[in-house]
Amino acid sequence: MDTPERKNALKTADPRAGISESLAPDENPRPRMSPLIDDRIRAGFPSPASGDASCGIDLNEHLIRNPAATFFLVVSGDSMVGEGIDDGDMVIVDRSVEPRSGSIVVAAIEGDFTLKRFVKTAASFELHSGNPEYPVIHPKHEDDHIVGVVCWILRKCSR
Amino acid sequence: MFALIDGNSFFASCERVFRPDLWRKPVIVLSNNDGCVIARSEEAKKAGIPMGAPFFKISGLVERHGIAAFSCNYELYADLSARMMACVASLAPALEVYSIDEAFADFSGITDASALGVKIRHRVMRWIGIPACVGIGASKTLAKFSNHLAKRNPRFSGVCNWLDLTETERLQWMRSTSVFDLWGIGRKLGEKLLEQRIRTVFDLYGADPALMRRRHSVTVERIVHELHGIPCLELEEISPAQRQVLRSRSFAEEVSDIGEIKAAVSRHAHSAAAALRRWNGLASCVGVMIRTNRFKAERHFGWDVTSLPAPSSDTLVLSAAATRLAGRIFRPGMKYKKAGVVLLELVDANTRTGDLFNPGDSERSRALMQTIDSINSRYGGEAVKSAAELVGTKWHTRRERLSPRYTTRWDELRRVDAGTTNTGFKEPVSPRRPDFSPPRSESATRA
Repeated sequence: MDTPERKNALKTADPRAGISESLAPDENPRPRMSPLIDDRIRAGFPSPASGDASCGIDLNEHLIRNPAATFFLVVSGDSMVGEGIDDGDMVIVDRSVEPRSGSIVVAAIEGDFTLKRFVKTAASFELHSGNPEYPVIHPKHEDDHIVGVVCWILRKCSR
Repeated sequence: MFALIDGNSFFASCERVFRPDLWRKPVIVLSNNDGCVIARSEEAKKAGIPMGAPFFKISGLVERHGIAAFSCNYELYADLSARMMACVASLAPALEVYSIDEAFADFSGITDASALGVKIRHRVMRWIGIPACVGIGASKTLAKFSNHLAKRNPRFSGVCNWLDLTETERLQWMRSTSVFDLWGIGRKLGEKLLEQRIRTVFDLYGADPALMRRRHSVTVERIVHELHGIPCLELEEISPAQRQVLRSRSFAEEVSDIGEIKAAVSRHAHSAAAALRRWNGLASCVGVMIRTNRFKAERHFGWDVTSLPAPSSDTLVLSAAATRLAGRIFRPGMKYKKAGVVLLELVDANTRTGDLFNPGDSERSRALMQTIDSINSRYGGEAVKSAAELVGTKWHTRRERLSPRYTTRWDELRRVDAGTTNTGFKEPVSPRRPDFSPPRSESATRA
């Protein structure tokens, strides 16, 4: 991740905020971005508050609450467009999150994964699409279950 | 008190995590170059697939029973293994990763061990999708034995606590289990015990420990003590497992510098690789463990495992992989007490089928390693060390039945179908070539 932006960001970071750590070779391969606060625009002495921002923002930290239970999947099909999920979107699924009514989930139904909106019922659950033309799914097989909850949807805007 | 947690038919279970169409179906995994069977699901065992069978010999059975056969996908297994261990570590106070699919946990001081065992099992299933079994006992041998019982007897529902069994039940289980199924009893030792009419676990339990020591070894004496609930093996003591090479050591002082950690890990990798070559083995996976003092509040148990492009005993390859892992699991600010390297999933360099497309360790690297070993044995210790990381070499293995690396490659992520209609049974789709067939709806349009 030694992009010119990153090197620049490190140089301009608050000198009191552990320079030895920030200037060390990048031992940690996790992707990082430049700090939110940039001292270059503040001529004179550095702000005491900027010390907290010197480590930058970490997308992994932001998007993944539980790394052991988090998986990435790619969506195919358009039945969830009504829920804001399009064909080709990437979803971040946390298997450790308990689904609630309204959660978007990945479910294993009849031996395949499907992406639906979870609705709790008195006895069990139903799976709804974002498109009313698709029928509601009622789990019938004993192996049908919820795999995990979609926490984030990733879509590239410029193709 | 100890617990042994292990993933059931681990490799086969890994293949099922992203393939719900394979649940309750027979699944097997083949060794490098699709040679022999190295893992079988419960259903595949029932279909009569023997462990280690050459694939070409069982192709008839595979066809007849509709068995799903996979080339080994160590990259997937290593990632799911690391996730499983992290999941167990989120509940167990102290952990010793024993192999790619099993770990011992220190359960001392835990009031309801069985409940914790159930919780761990459920969490591993929920978070990772891997079915696991838990065995609990006063010694590691009993924990392992209980795990064996939990795996084979549905009545335990995956968790067997030796301490919860009545005396009658214990004797019954020991009488009905062969001494060969006991942890630490290899084939040779088992046959020697047979000669002395020690056939079952119960026979060994009833044997005189001192006599066992005189006739066999201190190891057998220890097993007898352990069967009586007297723990002889510490949590982190290295066990005589033949499927792995482990090198670990505590630091003289706590270390919080990644450079020092990497240096230690590299040293361990060197020593483990040398041991591996002495046995003429090759490792398929490398694991690295670093941990802080486990009795302190701010603690971290770091463990990760990775697969190698091809099985190797090359110090440079192993050490490069190990230091890379150390960098990945290291947490700045933590004071580490111990670091270790494990070489996993070993294969014999001699019996490994040579393949034009998969040279594995090249002749040159093998010659270099022999030179390093002979210099080191002449001048002692580590006269020659590797200086730099070796840039990854690309190998090509015959893996015709390889599943996608769902969790480690952007271009191999699992597809999830949003457009499935609920109209009757749909033929399960292969994840590599997802089914884009439109549902029965006029408005549905897609690429």
